[in-house]
Amino acid sequence: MNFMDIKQISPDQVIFFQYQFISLNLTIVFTWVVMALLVIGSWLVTRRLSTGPKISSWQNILEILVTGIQDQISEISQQKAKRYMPFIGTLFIFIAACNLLTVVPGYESPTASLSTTAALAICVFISVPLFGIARKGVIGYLKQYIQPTVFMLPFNIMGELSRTLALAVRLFGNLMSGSKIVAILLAIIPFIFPVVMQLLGLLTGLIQAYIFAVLAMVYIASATQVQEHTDTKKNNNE
Amino acid sequence: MLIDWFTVAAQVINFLILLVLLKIFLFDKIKNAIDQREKNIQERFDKAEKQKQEAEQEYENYTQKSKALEDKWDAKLEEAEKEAKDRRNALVKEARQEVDGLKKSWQNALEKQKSSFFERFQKQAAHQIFDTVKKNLSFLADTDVQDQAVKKFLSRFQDLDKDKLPETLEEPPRISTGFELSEKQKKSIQKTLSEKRSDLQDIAFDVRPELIFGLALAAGGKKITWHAQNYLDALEKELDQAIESRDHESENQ
Repeated sequence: MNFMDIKQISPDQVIFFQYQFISLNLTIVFTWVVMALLVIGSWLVTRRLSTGPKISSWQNILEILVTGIQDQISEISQQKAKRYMPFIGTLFIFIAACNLLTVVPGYESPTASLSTTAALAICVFISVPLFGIARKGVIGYLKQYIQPTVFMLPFNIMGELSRTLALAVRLFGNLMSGSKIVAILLAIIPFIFPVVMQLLGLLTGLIQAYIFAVLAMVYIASATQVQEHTDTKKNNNE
Repeated sequence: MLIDWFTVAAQVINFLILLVLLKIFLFDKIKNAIDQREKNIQERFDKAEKQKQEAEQEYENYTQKSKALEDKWDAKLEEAEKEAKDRRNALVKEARQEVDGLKKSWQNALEKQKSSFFERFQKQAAHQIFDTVKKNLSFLADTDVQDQAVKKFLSRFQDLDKDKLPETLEEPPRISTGFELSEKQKKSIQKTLSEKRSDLQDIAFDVRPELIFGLALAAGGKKITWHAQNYLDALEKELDQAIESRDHESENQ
């Protein structure tokens, strides 16, 4: 069962329900599916958590996942991971789940929709100043746009926007192209090769999830650490 | 258009909802579980550390007690050794004293035996010498030895200084001899003595066998003797010295 035509690039184009500008498309539906799987799965595993030496396999997997993300955040940001854990963790788990489920026949990844990736990129775009302001205050955060000189302000703003766009397009391009290539190859060579490509797609999907989360963390870290670097420089000069 | 802005908005909301749900159902719970487990492990470590310290303390206590016991045991042993040593020394001393006592009593007994032996020997030797001399003199001079002895005595008496004679005589003078004098000899003696000093008269004669051979004059608290006893005493001394020197030599060897 395929919801999408080969000519349809984005799952946004498969619409189940339309009322004025409100439309229930394939992207939103599969997003809900992924959300439901993640939330129900988490609830099932975490409802009986063990604090003793013996733990279940699922708990073990989730603990490895959570501590892995936590370690990565700490390593990249050089700060305590607790503050960024839910945001970066959710980004990674959501994108990874969306991408890994492509092995399921008939499934269309929401991340193959530019709307989804744009939405996630917008979340990062908004979260960067929010974390920066929360940590350094409004003035402290805004000061970084005129660093090292005030003439850099337009370039800094352009950099901020372009990296958000790059974040969205990178993920969309990779996922969309991956699913399209598999679909095209199925038409040309129906045996074996598409399976290999699917496996490669899984790897690519996981890597893209990692890249997206890491980049988001790097942006947030740069926003929260700019002032600290400046202070350090000042201290060093003094 | 590839971007549907309604979908974008919906996805933003979806993402935020997912963020909240995962925070509630996943991150917080897992983090709490990990923290709780770490806390439990830390508590166990702390407990184990505490127990270890207690065990070390106990070990230290037992070591000290053991050392104290060992020291006490050593002290007791040393005390016992000292006591045994003292006891041994006391026993050795006692034994030595006993041996010394025995040795002394043995030496005394030996001395007595020696004295008695020399006494007997002295008498026997004197008698033997006297007999031999008597026989020889009789043989050689054809005269009586006793007579010769009396003559010798009287000859010495005549040569004696008057100063050596007592000034006054409270009792009559007494001549003691180891043999019975003949009347002739008695008269000869009386005559010689009265010639030396007129008050030396009424002489009393007695026989004292221990003198063996010779005469002794006792007058006014003074004694004038010539008899074999003197020679025998000298002979006894010489014999003693000769025996002692021989004993010393044998001990040294």
